[in-house]
Amino acid sequence: MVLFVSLLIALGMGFSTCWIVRSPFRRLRRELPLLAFLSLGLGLGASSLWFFLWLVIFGPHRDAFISSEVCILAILVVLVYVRARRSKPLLPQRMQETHSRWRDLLVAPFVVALVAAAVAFFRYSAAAPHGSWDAWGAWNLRARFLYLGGTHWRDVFSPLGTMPHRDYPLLLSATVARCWTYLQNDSPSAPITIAFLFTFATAGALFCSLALLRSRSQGLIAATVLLATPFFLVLGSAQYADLPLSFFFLSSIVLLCWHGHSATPNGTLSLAGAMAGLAVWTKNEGALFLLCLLLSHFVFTVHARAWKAYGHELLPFLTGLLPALVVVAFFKLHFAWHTEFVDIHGLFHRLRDLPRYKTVVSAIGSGLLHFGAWPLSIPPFLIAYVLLLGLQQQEDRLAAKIGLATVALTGLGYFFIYVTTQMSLRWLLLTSLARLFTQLYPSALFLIFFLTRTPEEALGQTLDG
Amino acid sequence: MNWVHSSFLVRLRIILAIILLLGAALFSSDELLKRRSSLPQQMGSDEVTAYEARFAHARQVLPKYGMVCYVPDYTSSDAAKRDFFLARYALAPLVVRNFPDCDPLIGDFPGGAPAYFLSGRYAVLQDLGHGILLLKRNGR
Repeated sequence: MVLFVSLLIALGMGFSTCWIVRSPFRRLRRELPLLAFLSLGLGLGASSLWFFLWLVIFGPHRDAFISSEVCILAILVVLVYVRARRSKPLLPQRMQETHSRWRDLLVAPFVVALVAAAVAFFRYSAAAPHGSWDAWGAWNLRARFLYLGGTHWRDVFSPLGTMPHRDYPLLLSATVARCWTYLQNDSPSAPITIAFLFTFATAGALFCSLALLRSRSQGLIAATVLLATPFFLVLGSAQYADLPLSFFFLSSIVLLCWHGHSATPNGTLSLAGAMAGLAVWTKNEGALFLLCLLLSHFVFTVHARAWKAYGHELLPFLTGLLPALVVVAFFKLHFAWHTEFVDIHGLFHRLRDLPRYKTVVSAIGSGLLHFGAWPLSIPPFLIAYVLLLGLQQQEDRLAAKIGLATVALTGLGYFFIYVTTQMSLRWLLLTSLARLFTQLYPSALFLIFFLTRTPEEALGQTLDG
Repeated sequence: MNWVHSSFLVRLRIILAIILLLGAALFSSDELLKRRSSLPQQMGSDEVTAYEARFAHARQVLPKYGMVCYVPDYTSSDAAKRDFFLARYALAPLVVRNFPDCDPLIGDFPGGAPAYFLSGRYAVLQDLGHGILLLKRNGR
């Protein structure tokens, strides 16, 4: 019950923030499910930022911390009320959605995949309630220091012990420690629930975003494919930070694509910036993603529109990004500036080492087909699906191009991290490649289904012709 | 070539695409459900929970904060590495140092401490059970 309350407060903070930033959307009922899923990640991320700042500024005072969160939520609710009173109700955005037989037919496989995924998640979690190796070896270990450490919580960064990944940001560990602070014990139920929420919120955001921007049938197909990916469920129940990261990657790209359709484009861009900032607060890969996103946004927007339009879009994005980025900068400067994956010594030698490229390319080629641990590799079926249905010819595909370029550049960044790492290359590929693919997988699925014609469009276009 | 774009063939193409993709996906879902039967059925029967129980007494004896050294060397084998990581998790928020250069030390020997290990170098302060020893370096 207490855990539920702690999560509800986080959700409330996230939802209120979305409402304030994106208001008014009182009559845009179709947006609400997507906003709910996005709010969940935003709320958990924002509350983890606040938990860390609270520890730094005030130390571990449970009751005062909980009171502070309740106060923040109350202030946000008042702001929502004020904003809602001032705003004029908008008519729903006109997006084509007719009752479709496709949708009815596709609900059944979606429900089967959803139930199978939920059953598998709980079975895996019951078998390993503390998660897999990196969960108890790093993420939950750090959470224990933050929660159980009392005034000694900074020991988690102690160079004296063999503490893992001291440079990793704290979103997941702080979220778990925050829930434990509410619970007053370090029960595994907290990390399991957080893992569950991020896993299924990712699928939920994928479904709702495609249902909103394309069609419900398209959303159902994409979510079925994602939920039927065994490694996605394994990684989710493992309590690693890769799925929260994939959630924030997906959310940033979805919000970028949404802002063109939105009644409040600046608010949507601010939320995209906030999600990208929380990705940076989740894992170091988030910083690479942010750089790629900013670069892609710059190139495509300046090319397609103009400098002025670029400036108009960048400003709200940076406004949303700033809070998380300031905390990450503080964290990195004061606690963890060093990264263990890139060492400048021997960097140029490794860059000129051609066999390393061959090893990485070979591993990526094989990993691309098998990272999901599918009994039948899904990527060839996805390609066949796109070829058979064809690409949609929407007027504005700029945001999707930015998203595609971001995913591709992030993938390229991962490639060069492998090439240049001073760690054992084969070991690193073996232990991380499937996880890195999975980080980008929901975003890639969203972009594929965003750009592909829906079944209704594919049929309708031919009949029209 | 109009027949290629006929309503029937287009419908067939779309249905084929969806059946192929969702068929392959649902086959994975089926495998997911089958795979679960090979997992332990009871909650709490995992190795981390077992390790936490092993270290329950040690947690009572050791200080809550600060640092404790750990033997044996965790780089000696994969099993030793796993034992060290599990001990580190079980003892958190105590910092566990993987070098025998401080007192007290935790000796973690799930299979029992080998005699050669203790001879001369360490004195046993307390046997904490389950193969866990509280040690002190000799000559200090």
